[in-house]
Order: sequence, then structure tokens, then C-alpha cells
Amino acid sequence: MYGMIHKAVRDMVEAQFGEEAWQKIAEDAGVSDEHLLSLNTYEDQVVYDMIGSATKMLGLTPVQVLEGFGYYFVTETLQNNYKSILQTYGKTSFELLENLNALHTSIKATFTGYKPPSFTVTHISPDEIDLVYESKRAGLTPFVRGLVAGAAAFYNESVSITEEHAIDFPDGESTRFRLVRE
Amino acid sequence: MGNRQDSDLYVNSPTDNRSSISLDLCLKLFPLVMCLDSDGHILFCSERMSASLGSPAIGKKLFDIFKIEGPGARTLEDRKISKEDIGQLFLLSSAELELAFRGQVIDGMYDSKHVFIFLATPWLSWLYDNVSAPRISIGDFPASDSQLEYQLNLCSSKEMLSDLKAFSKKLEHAREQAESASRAKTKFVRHISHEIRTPLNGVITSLKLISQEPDESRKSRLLEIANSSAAALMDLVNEVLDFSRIEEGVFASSKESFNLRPMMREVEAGLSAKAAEKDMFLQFDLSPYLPTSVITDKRSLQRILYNLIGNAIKYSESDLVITRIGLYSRNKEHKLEIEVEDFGIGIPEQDVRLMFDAFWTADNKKSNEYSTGLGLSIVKEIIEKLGGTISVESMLGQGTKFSFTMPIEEPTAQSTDTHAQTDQPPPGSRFHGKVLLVDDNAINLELAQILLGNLGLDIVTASDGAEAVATEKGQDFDLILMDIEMPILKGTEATVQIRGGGRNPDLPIVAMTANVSSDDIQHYITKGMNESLTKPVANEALVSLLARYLPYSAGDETNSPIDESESEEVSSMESLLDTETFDSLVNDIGSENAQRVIGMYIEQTSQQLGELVDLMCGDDLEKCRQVSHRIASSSLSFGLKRLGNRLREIEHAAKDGRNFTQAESDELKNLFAESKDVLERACGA
Ligand code: HEM
Repeated sequence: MYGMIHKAVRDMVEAQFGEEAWQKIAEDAGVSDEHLLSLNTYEDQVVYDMIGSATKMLGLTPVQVLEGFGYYFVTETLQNNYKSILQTYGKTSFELLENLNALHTSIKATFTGYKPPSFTVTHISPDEIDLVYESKRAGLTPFVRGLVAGAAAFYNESVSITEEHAIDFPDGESTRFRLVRE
Repeated sequence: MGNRQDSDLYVNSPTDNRSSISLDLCLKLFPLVMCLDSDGHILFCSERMSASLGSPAIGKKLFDIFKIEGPGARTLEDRKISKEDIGQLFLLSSAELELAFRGQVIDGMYDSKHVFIFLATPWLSWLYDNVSAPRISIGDFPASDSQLEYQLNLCSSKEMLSDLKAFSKKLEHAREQAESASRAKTKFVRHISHEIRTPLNGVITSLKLISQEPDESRKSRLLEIANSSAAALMDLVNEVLDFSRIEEGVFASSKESFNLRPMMREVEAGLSAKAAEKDMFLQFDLSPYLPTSVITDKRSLQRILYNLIGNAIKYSESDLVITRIGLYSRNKEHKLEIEVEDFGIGIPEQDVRLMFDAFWTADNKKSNEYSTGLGLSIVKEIIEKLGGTISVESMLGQGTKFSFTMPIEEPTAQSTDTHAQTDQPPPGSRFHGKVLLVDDNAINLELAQILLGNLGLDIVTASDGAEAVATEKGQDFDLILMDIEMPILKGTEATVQIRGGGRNPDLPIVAMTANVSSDDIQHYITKGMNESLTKPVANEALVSLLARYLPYSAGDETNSPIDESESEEVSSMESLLDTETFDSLVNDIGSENAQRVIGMYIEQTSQQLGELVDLMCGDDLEKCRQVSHRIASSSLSFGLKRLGNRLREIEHAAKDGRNFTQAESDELKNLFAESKDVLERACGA
């Protein structure tokens, strides 16, 4: 994964649990300053180790850490440098999700070697969509839940996930969500 | 690909041969499209363009709505669009409308007329720079437009740049640290070489002078200087070794259970002389809530205290150093909270921050003590290795306070009445039980009897092995303290008999002997003894031995401290009398008892010595060995070192079958006379 993701994990831990907590997690996961260069790519294992250590040190479950991280990623990390881009790609959370593949394709032009997930949106009604997430990585569905919640918060909307089913997806993970906007 | 020309990509103009792209195709590829005449009048807008402009724009002039930022200044002047503009990049902006476009003007057909078609895309960088929430969406962009990628690239490059800056700052910081560490090490080597030179000089010079010094007492004074300089050297070297061991990560903490109060008393005893030299008073405040015994790394704790209090003595110029020990207990976490505070000169602020760094030594250090400058950094490392923390507060001219914590394991409850446990009982404790004390030397018997009696024990004595065996048969004992070298039946043989036939398997029998080689001790154990206690018996060792076998109850602390007032005369006595042994004996049994026993000793030994002097010149070397053994052991009990050691030599020589000369026996007589003199004087003082 890109160092940008590592940095986001660090920022979240430092903001919510303090610098010392991050020091402990970094030490435990074997992460140093060299792992925090946003445009560098690293083995996926590094970020999995970080999440694992955070789980251990903060006394949270992996699901809690990943959901929190997804929420933080949209509401904090992307706000620093990518806010206008987010706004360009969507005026609502549903629109953003619809355009996410286009967004990630643009990202791919910059972040070479980027392995983007895929998001497919099917409209059920103006306030209800079906979202299918597919990724070559396993275990990140809770991260997506957090991202969706973060996106809703970014657009000041109230969106809830009413259904969630795993879809068989070899060498990765796929989940179907039903989202309802109130 | 082949017949593109024939398709409707290009529409041939009826009047000239210019090829133009159809508006339909333009509208497929570009969401934002306008048709213009050469004066810049807007003839047509695509749906998205109309929406984006807001108000109706047909018939208006482009140059009235937008500022033309490109291409060049020419267009701005004549406000016309010409053939030269085809293929150029157009940049239009309107601050008022919060709109900006970029794109190309191409040649096209609209309403069967030649027109210029403006293929626009939102001008992203202008919008991002000038408008807080641009009214654009992804639908405004043609799929091929790379502006978004470019923007992403820009954002992420910016981020990467700041990451790299942060990273290089960190590296720079690390480099500076490494450099300053290396500078500090160089400084340290210089410093330590200097520090070593002083005591080394002391050793070398005094040894050189000794060889030329005829006067005995000055010789021994020089030897003393050599010794203390060598000890200082040893301390320096040990500190350096410790430091490097900790730096390498080889620090092994070893936890043990021990009593805090006696431990603190040891620290006090170890430092009180130094404090007294500087007219400094050491005060120890122990919280009443402290548990009697704790489990932690005792050696390290003592070391930290020696270091911090020792530093205060050396450098603070305070007349009082207070050490406070309290207990912090919450949930499962227990720790000692310890403060060492002085009221002396204080430490400058800039030094307070640095003082735990290795190699730091205060520049204003006024003392002539040797120091590696490693002490505090070792202290900090040890404390942290043990899970504690240390901090320091200081005010110039007001004093300095070190505070540190040391985790301890769940303290055992406050000690109540009787218990049999292994650690040192608090001073003043009373033991319960009946002890058989066996020694052929009446003086030693008397001394031990006083010591044991003071500790509250019932004592029965026997003066040889055979008597011990007989006495043991008639009564129940809780402990036997047995001399080894005795006439009639040796201690080891007596033990064999006492334990004979499987009797008394649980009765502790402890050897009391001056022979302390591990082979000897092993031999006693194979004969059935539990362990050995070294003679002359020190109170402290005796108490911790008794605590292993007998129940005791904590009493009140009525240990009378020794007053150490004698000083001048000491040096002449020194070679004959070991004052430390003598003082601790007086302290242990009280001066009245001491006077009485010394009287006994002098009376008996005078007589025995006469006997020995005769034996030395006779044939009965075995008898000679026995008598010299007996006198040696009681002489050493009082600290009569030279006499005791000489008698030991005679004992061994007799054992080896060597005869003695008249001169040797005369010399012994003189030695005894001198020793007796010194002892009587010390006793009277
Ligand atoms: C401008 C905004 C965004 C940027 C720059 C960005 C960038 C990235 C990057 C660098 C990764 C790491 C992938 C790798 O290293 O291979 C990533 C992963 C991911 N992103 Fe984005 N992202 C953005 C917006 C979003 C949004 C809005 C969502 C969803 C709401 C999203 C969903 C994800 C997910 C789910 C992953 C995990 C990869 C996986 O599931 O395989 N991203 N993103």
C-alpha cells in the first residue's frame, strides 16, 4: 500500500490516542519514519501489521480499528489535500460512490502500481442504492463501512447501511451493501 | 481507419476547401461547447454550457463576459477571433461568475455557416485557486481530460514533498544527535583519562615512596593512600563497565524479597561517614504505610540510592539530605515513590535537561571527587529497565530534588507477630527457641551466649563434642550452633552421632568456623550439618541465620547507635586491632558486657599464652596446634588481627610438624603484650 495510507493510520492514532500510543504501535509493528512517505509503495503486510498492533495496544477489535480508520480517512485525511477533488467527483455521497471508479482510475494515473478497489452502484430509488465493493485485498470490508459513513458525514447526510452480504470473490474480498439515505 | 475522410468527421465547405469537424461529434466528446463568430458573438451553447453560465448568453460577446487570459495579448487588443487562433490554448476566466474555461477554438459549421467552435473544459487550477467551492462536477469533463489526474498528481506531489521534508528533518536531527553523541564520547574519553590519572598517580607515587620510607607508621599511611586510590580507580572502571553493559542491553535484574528498613539502614551506614566528613546530615523518612517486605531488584535499588544520595553529598553543599520513601498502590500496581532532596547550590536550568545524558558532568562541580559522569545516566537506564521513571527539579541556590519510582510486586501484609521467613527480620526482633551452643573456647562461648541472649533465646552450652552429644540427648533443642575444632570429639563427629540412627533429622545444626573454603563447607554438609556460620560471628549474619530456622517477633527498634568518636590514636592501634570488628562487637553486646568478656579474655589468654610459649619450644606439637587454635579464634573475635593471624600461622606450622625458635616465642610474647595493651585502651575509651 502507499505510504499515504500508513501516514493516515498514524495521524488517526496520534489524534485520538496520543503520540505515545503511536510510538508503541509503530515499535510493535516495526514501522519507522521511512514507512511514512506518501508516494512510496510498501508491502500490504506493513499496513496489516499496523492495524494488528493498533488492535493489540488500544484494546480494540480489528473491526473497530478499520471502521474508525475508514471514517477518519474521508473526514480528516482527504480533507487536507483532496477536498476539492472529492467535491468535483460528487455533490452527494451516492454520486461520489458512483464516480469512485473514475476517481480511482485518475488516481491510478498518478499512483502507479495502485491496486484500486472497484465500486459498482445500482440505483434502487432516489434514496437507496446497492453498492458492490470488490478488492484484491482481503479483510477490508469494515474499512469500506467506515469510508461510507465518512462520506455521508462529509456531505452532511445521514446514510445507513441496511444490508450487507459477502459475495464469493476468489483472491480477494467482495461485499454487497444496501445504503439508504434518510 | 481507412475511409475516415468520407465519414462525417469532416464536412466539406461549399465555398472553400476548409475541412471542419461536425458540431454533433464535438457535442459527443465535449460536454461544454460554444459556437462563436469572428467578433466573439456567442451563437450557440451546449446544454451543460448554458447551465454552467447560468443566464442566457446567446448574442452576448464572449469578451464581455470573460477575461481572455490566453492566447497572448493580441486577441485582447482587437477582440476578434481569427484563423491564427485555431489550435491555440484558450484560457477564459470570470471572477464574477466564478467560472473559468480552458480549451481550443476549431473551425466548424453551424447553421450552414462557418463558425469557430470553442471546445471547453473547466479550468481546474484556476477554479481550485480562486473559488472556494467551484460549481463543477465530473460530468463537465471529457473522458480524455487529464486535468484531474494532473490535479491529483499535484496534490500528492505536494504531500510527498512535505513528507520528504519532514523525513529529512528527522534524519538531520538523528545525524546531529549522532554527532553530538560522538563528540560527547570524545569528551568523555578525555574526561575519564583525566579522572583516572589522579587516583592512578596516587597509587604509583605512594607505592614508590613506600619503598624508600623507613618509618612504619608513615609507611602504613602511604599504603592506605595507595589502597584508597586503587579503590577509587576500581569504582571508576566499574562504572564504565556497567554503563557499557547497560548500553549493550546486558542488564539482568534479579528480584528478591527483602525488608526495606534494614536495607535503608545499610545505605545510611554506607554513606554516613562521607556525610559526616562534610558536616552533612542524612535524614530518612519512611512512610508508615510501607510494607515490611517488598519484592524488587534490591541491588539496583540500593545502587540508585547510593548514587543519588552520594551525589548530593559530593556536590550539593547542602547540610541536609532528605530521602523519602512512600508507597503508591492502585489496583494491581504497586510502586515505591522515592525522593532524594537537598537544599544546596542547585543546578542551572540548562544542565537539568542534560544531566541524565551519558557523559554529562556539571562544569561547576567543585568537588575533587573522581567521577565518570556516567552515574546518573546509569541510574536512569536502570530505573527505566525496571519499569520506573525518574525526574529532577532544581532551583539555583535552593536545592535539587530527584524523584523516581520503582515498581514492586504486591506487597505482603504488614508483618504481624511470629513468622519464620527467610529475609532479614527488623532490628530489635526477638527470637523464640532453645539453642545448644557448642565451643571449646570459653571466650567465644561467652560472646555467642551474650549475642544469643540479647536476641531472646534460651541457651545451653557445651564445651566439646562429647558434651554436646550428651546434652542433646536429655533435652529438646530448636537449633545447635557447633564449633568444629574441639578436643575429645570434633563438631562434625558430634553431628554424626546426634543424627545417628535417623534421629533428629529436622534439627538444624550449624557449623561455626573460621574455615570458609567451599570444600570445608561441603565436608560439613556431608557430615549432616545444615550450613556454616563464619567466625568471628557478626550480629547481622547471626540474625539472618537465626531467621532461617527460628520464629521471631518484631520488637521495637532499640538499637543503640555507636558513637564513633575516637580518631587520633587509631592509626597506632590499627595494625594490632581491627577497630571495625571491635566496634561492631561492642555495639552488638553492649560495652558493659564487652568490658567483662575482654577481662575474661585477657586473664585466660595470659595464662594460655604462657602455656603456648612453653609448648612452642617442646615436642608436643599437636597440643601446641590446639592451644594456638583456641587463642587465635578468641583473639580474632575481638579484632586482634595481628595476634590472631600470627597464632594461625603457628597453628598451621605446628600442624606441619615445624619446630619454633626461642626468638619466635619471644616475639609472640611481645605481640600479645602489645595487643593486650591496645585492647585494654580501646576498652577503656
Ligand atoms: C482523492 C481521494 C482519494 C485518494 C487520493 C485515494 C487514494 C488511495 C490510495 C493511495 C489507496 C491505497 C491503495 C494501494 O496502495 O494500492 C487507497 C485505497 C482505498 N481507497 Fe482510496 N483514495 C481516495 C478516495 C477514496 C474514497 C472516497 C473511497 C471510498 C469511499 C476510497 C476507497 C478506498 C478503498 C476501499 C481502498 C482500499 C483498497 C482495497 O480495498 O483494495 N478511496 N485509496
